[in-house]
Amino acid sequence: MADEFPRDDPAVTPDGPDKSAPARKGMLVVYHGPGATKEIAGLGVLFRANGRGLPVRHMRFKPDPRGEPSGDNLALEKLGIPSHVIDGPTEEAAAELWSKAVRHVSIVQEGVLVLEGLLDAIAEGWLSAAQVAEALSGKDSLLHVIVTGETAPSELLDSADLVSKMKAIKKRGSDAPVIAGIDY
Amino acid sequence: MTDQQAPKGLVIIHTGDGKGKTTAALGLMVRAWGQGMSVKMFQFLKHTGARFGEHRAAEKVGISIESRGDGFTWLSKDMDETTAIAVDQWAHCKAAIEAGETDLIILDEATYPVTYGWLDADEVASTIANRPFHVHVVVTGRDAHEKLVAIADVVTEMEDIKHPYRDQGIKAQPGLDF
Repeated sequence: MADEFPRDDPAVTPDGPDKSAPARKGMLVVYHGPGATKEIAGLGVLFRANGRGLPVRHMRFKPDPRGEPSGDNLALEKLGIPSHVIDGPTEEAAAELWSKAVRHVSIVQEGVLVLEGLLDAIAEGWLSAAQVAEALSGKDSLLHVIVTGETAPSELLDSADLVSKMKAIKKRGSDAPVIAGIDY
Repeated sequence: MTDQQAPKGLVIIHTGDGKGKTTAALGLMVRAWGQGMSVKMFQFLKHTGARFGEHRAAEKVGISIESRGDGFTWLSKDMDETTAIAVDQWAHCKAAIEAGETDLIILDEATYPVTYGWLDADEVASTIANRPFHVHVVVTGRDAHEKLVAIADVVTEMEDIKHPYRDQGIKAQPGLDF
């Protein structure tokens, strides 16, 4: 069969072709909701962008609850993707990591920055929603910033380009075993 | 992981109109791979031999992503051919599921060929339901068929709150969307 479409054509997505749109834009993406899936969406974007040779970085605003490294940590290490995890569940630690994120946004003009659990740090009162929204919106670079967490404040929803909410339609019972490689 | 301690494999569905279904499946694939599990992704609809970011990344680290398709349906000029490609892709998926050699198998965009009737919903659902004990199967795509939802352990719906292509007319972005 004739290959009528370029293999890398972004028009070939479930959302259909759109040839008139601006070609490139750094986006602010918010994945939020009660579903655990939001965390792995950030990891998926990192994997994709890394495959394209774009600069990528991962920052996690929630301390790792387990003594052992998670599959996410192990994978990021194997892929050579730089990752920073918050030092502890404190306002100071959140502020320190957030300053790293701000620096990254101001310096790196393309690729992907994943701020995992940033919304939860805002919900804890460690960071100001207005400040975060201001720092992440209105940038004119090609850097995509992915923000995740349980609930998104209106400031971030307003300034985001893409927002998906993860809802659990069906889930395992609370007594179901935690599975390495699936849950962490 | 073929030891006897392996937990029972799950059936996980990412559905809904919002973005993030395939992306989250990729993330799960990477997480499982990070834990040393064997993983494999089969993509329906996307062009055979597609070279998106995930294919390039997977190739670098030796993860197999097999795409068999001719683009999305409204672009297809030959439905028989489109159906035949989906049927062929399903045969590869089924063989991989039944072999039990891969811990996590992702059937990306597999809801569409089921919804369109190119694949038999009962056959797909029963193959997944009767998988080897330790195998995890992830299915992505909009409008997951009720027979798939019925056999799933976990179903997450990605709700479309704000969509850059619809709301701002922005194109899909390399590295982010593909």
